[in-house]
Amino acid sequence: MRKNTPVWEQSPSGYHRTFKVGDTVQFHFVSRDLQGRIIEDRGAIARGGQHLYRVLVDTDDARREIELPAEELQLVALR
Amino acid sequence: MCRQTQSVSRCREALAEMPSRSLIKWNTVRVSALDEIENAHRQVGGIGRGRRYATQQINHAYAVLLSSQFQGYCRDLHSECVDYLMSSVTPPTLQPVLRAEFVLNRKLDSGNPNPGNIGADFSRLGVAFWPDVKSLSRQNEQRLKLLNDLNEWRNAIAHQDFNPTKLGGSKNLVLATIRNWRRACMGLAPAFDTVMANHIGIVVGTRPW
Repeated sequence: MRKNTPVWEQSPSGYHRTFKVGDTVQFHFVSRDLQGRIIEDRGAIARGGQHLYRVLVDTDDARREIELPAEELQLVALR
Repeated sequence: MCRQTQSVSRCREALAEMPSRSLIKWNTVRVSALDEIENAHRQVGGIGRGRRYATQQINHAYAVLLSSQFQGYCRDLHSECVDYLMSSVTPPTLQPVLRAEFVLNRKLDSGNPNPGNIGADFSRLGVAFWPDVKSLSRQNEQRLKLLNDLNEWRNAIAHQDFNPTKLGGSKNLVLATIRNWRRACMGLAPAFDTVMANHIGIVVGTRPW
């Protein structure tokens, strides 16, 4: 069973965190932190060979999707 | 001596323009998937003349796969470009806001990779997309038409609605046509890569790849 910490993957530019579809993650959005669920791993196409993730955010304001590189995400809970 | 000079010159040109990660994936993973169905075509029907069974269904599958792989490449490239552009936005607190906006209702997320959808999504990044693509090579105009034809067939296959007036006058799809479409996609993929690298280089100040 995976520990409640991100998995690190080596790319040509260094080590980057990786997540899995279904993980709950947190990221900073302007003046607050938002939580969302990873719905798609877009692959290692972000800067420096990081993985880019599509995150579904469901708040009282709206249901939105956003693509973020691994370095901007923090793991909250495993799928 | 002259040949050596030419090959060194081409090598330098190639090194000067490194591909995006999306283009690398297109040239490796995605093209390999297309090669697999090309090989399956040979194994089922053979390469000789004469009647071949099930090839029409394989042709249909090939066309749909080609369209989907090209859609995947275009979507990857769009995401890669957004990521590079956002990294230079100030103040940084605005970056996630703009990231969300650039993928909101992105046509390539669910729509076909037809010229309209591709142009609509990339143009949101501030580039005169199709004019720039066409200016790179005279062949790109024809490639654009072939891409349109591919998508017309893709829709016909997906919806099982074969209207000859939309499909170039025929309901029969031949391998040579699909190979023509594939060559068009192989030509357009690096063209898109170059256009977006140039555009981001102008906006941000350095080429992204």
